[in-house]
Amino acid sequence: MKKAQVSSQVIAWTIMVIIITGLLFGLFLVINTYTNKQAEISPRLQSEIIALRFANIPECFAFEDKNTGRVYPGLINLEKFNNEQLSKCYHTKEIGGFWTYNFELKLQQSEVKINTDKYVGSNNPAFTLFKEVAVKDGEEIIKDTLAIYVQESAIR
Amino acid sequence: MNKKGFELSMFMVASIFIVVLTGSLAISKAVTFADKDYSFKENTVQNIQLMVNTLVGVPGDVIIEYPLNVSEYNFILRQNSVVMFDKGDLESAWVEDSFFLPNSYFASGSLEEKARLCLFKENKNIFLRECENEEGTS
Repeated sequence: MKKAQVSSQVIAWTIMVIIITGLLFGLFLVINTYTNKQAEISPRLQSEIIALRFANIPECFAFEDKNTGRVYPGLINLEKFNNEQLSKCYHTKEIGGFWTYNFELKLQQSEVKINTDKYVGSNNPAFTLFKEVAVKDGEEIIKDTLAIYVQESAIR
Repeated sequence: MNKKGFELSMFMVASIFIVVLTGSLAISKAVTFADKDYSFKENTVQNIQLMVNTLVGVPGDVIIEYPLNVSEYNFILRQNSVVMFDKGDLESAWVEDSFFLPNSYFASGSLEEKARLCLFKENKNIFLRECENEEGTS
């Protein structure tokens, strides 16, 4: 075989190899994306469900009457509305940190703002949920809106 | 073989290796996806994760039945995750989804190839087990 023939064959093979690799890699990406889409649940739905707990259970911020043990879902105890209580209610260390849902909660009338352990910065949520709540501040109960700012990363 | 020929064939070997590697990845992903169980497992563990988060977010004791037949599968509910697998699967092939439970909540339970899966919330404990006769139905 002549030298020129050999080198042109090598060039042709090299181009073929590059094209086939590219095509296979593209196929891999398409299949991967399609598989992930098949199992996708809307981030808004997922975060709505996680956020149910904030105003509904005493391990988060719901007011609990110490004398009777009765819990008042939807009534937020302002005394408990702080980062320490939020970390008992929801934190992300064991479930992915930055790679899962993180929340910033703001009571709009009371102007109190708290956030979960891996919430980055401020004013950069993926989307915001709003819940009408009542807030118990000492003996006073006021109507308020709980704004839930959600950050979600590429977890799926 | 001369030096140039050796270099060229090493290049060819490396190229073929890359093609085979990428091809294997693509084919293994395709095979995994073609396995109808994979998407079903992914969806099921996500649904159970959502059910656990829902149970956490509602006051009182609750029982929910998963509305599909899961008699071909096994489940384990752990403190921070739920896993689903076929009997004999390697642990690396188990499908898992995670959740966070508030302090003082506990999750546990398992189900081995039973048709009806129920999640129970009693006080701050969440259990996964087989539904009994009328449980979870309305």
